[in-house]
Amino acid sequence: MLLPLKGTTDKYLADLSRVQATMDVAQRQVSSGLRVQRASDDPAAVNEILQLQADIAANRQTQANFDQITTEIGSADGGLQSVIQLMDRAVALATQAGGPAATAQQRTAMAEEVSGLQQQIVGISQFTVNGRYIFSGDQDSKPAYVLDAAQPNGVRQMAAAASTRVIRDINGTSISVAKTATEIFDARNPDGAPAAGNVFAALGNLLTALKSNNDAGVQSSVTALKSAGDHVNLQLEFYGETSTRVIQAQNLAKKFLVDQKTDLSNTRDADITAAAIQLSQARMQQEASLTSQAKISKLSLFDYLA
Amino acid sequence: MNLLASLRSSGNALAAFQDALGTVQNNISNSSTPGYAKQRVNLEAQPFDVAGGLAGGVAARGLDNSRNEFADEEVRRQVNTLGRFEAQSEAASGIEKLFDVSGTTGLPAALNQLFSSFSAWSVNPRSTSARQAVLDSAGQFADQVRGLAGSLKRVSQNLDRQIASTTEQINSLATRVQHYNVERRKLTQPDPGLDAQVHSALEQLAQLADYTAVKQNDGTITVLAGGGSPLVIGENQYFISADVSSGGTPGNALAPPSARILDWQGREITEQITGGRLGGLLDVRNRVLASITGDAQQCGTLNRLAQGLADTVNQIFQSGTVSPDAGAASGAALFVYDASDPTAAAGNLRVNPNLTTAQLAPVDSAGNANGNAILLASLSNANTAAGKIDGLGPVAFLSQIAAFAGRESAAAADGEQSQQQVAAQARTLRDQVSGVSLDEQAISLIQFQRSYQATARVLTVLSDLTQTTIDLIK
Repeated sequence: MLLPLKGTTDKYLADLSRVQATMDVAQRQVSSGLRVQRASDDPAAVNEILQLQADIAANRQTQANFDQITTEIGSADGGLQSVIQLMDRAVALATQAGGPAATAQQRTAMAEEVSGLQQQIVGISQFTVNGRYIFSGDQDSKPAYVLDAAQPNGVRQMAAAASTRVIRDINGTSISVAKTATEIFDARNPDGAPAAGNVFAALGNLLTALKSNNDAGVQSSVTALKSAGDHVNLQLEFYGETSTRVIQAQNLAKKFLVDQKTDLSNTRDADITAAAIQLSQARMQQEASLTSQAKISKLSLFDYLA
Repeated sequence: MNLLASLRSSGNALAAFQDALGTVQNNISNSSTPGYAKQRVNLEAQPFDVAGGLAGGVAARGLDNSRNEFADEEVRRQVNTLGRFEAQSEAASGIEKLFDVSGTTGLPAALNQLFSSFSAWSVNPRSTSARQAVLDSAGQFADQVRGLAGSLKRVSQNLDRQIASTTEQINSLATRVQHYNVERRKLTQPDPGLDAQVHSALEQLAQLADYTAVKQNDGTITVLAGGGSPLVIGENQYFISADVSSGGTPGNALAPPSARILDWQGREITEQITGGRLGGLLDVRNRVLASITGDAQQCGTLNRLAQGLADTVNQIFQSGTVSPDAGAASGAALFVYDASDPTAAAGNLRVNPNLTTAQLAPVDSAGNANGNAILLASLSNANTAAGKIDGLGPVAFLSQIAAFAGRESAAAADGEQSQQQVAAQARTLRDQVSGVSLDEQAISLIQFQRSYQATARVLTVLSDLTQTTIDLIK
């Protein structure tokens, strides 16, 4: 180990080292744009930086989740709008088939069409997004209903689970994102009997009445079909509201993201101008120091003794 | 006064000036020698009485040593503090670098990725790919924790090697002091060269450890380490040693040992060593590093993070079910670690090797299909009540560890920088008192050369006069 030989040289080197350290810090800040690259740059800011990074990662994932949910809600919304159109068509058919003018042959033909409507609505109840049956509630790995002519309403229930799945917005507020096919198409009273607004029951009754050429049955089904259409409309409102809430939550998340990035930038990023000035000053200081050192005479009195 | 007395006096003066010139030459030769203090011949006027026949003249009466022990002691004190800061800065910097605060790599990134995978899973709890992503992220997190624990262990081993090496250097320098004492006892007068060697050794020793040096009446130096354990007494040296093979284990028999310094009798003197490079290394090894990786008294913050997060995640998983279906199985633990040693939790944290994607439990105890997944994702939020470790969320707790490492590194670096100035200042002050100035020596050289020439001239005149007197006799 060699010790510095002269205190003055040691002091000069310590000063140079200090200036060099200042230059290194400024250089790092200018080249990276970051004020805090290592924990020692500002230990007090580490917690805020890491928490903001975690919040930003969580926010980005929340937005990705919302994008996925938006696809689901869009599919559900589109499906229910189709159901409403199909129910309107069913009401029209029932109205047309009701009354003494309609013949048995016409009712049979209409029954064919109503059967088609029923198939389409069951098909909608089996919509999938990313492999999930979106109207099957928590049992989303299988369809909620399948066609079954042996059943009174023409369908058989495959999944009866409620939909407990929610999505959290950036504030932690839960948003319920789905209705089940049972709630939408197969509303029932507490005793288990089909409730007013039961789509499958209304269509099933109409189909049965048309097939049996039962004029009274056809006429009475019009009211049930209208009620079922209204019920689906009501369910559609849920998706409309959910869609609105999701959009608001997305906007909120985006706004939060901007705020979080701004906070992170304020905490972590370097003031490039200040760093550049500091670098310039330190470089000037270093050059001045080296120059002045170089100008100090290295001669001693011995050099003048000849 | 006769001519012969004058001749003798002039001859003595020439000898005195030769001594003075020799001293100047020695000063110049040692102007760059570590530990050397300039010497000056003490010239003494001789009795002069013309009537009484005393010829006067000048004689050399030993050397004046310009060494100032207080200045030397101050330099050693400052160098000791500088050595401590330098070692702390270097060692703490190595620890701090392991904690990435950019958020793009390392443990913080893996932790964020784990929480993101929980969040993505909450949207589609039955999805096999989402479940696999959770397992993958958990595996990466465990890898990062183990990797960090491994890196810290390597830092610890490196510090142990440095501590052992520094202890060897201390013993080596103590040997030099002991050799000095042996040589010093052989001399009646202090030798400037020997004096320079021992002071150089003492200054180097100050950089390595704190000690007390006491000069004895016989000129030997007694060196006592830290709190009084002898290193050198007279002609005897007492070796110290480093020991990392065992430690006190009142709290945990399996805990990694602390680094210990033992005196010549094998007694622990670690706490007595607080300064110099050795003190700095011991501080980082036994305090800074141990607080993160654990020792016999504490399990270490990294282990607490690993254990705390694993326990929280496992408890959430095990409280739920793998699906909302009736009769669905309960969830299994996601992480496993060796619970028998609290200081090894981070070092062996792994994803449960028997776990399949089907055994992950997104459903909470209330039956909500993604209740657990949402709760797990929310652990990243500082305001979430679940999963607190010492009242802090996992991210904040990890931040606390990184900030601690950063704070130690910054404090040591700042201390090193300011102490460099203080030590340099102390050296400058010492050099002003006892350093060799070439200009000053050049003046002395001229002065003694002129004196020598003048005396020689006088001698020539006296010689001529003596010759004249002899010629008269002829």
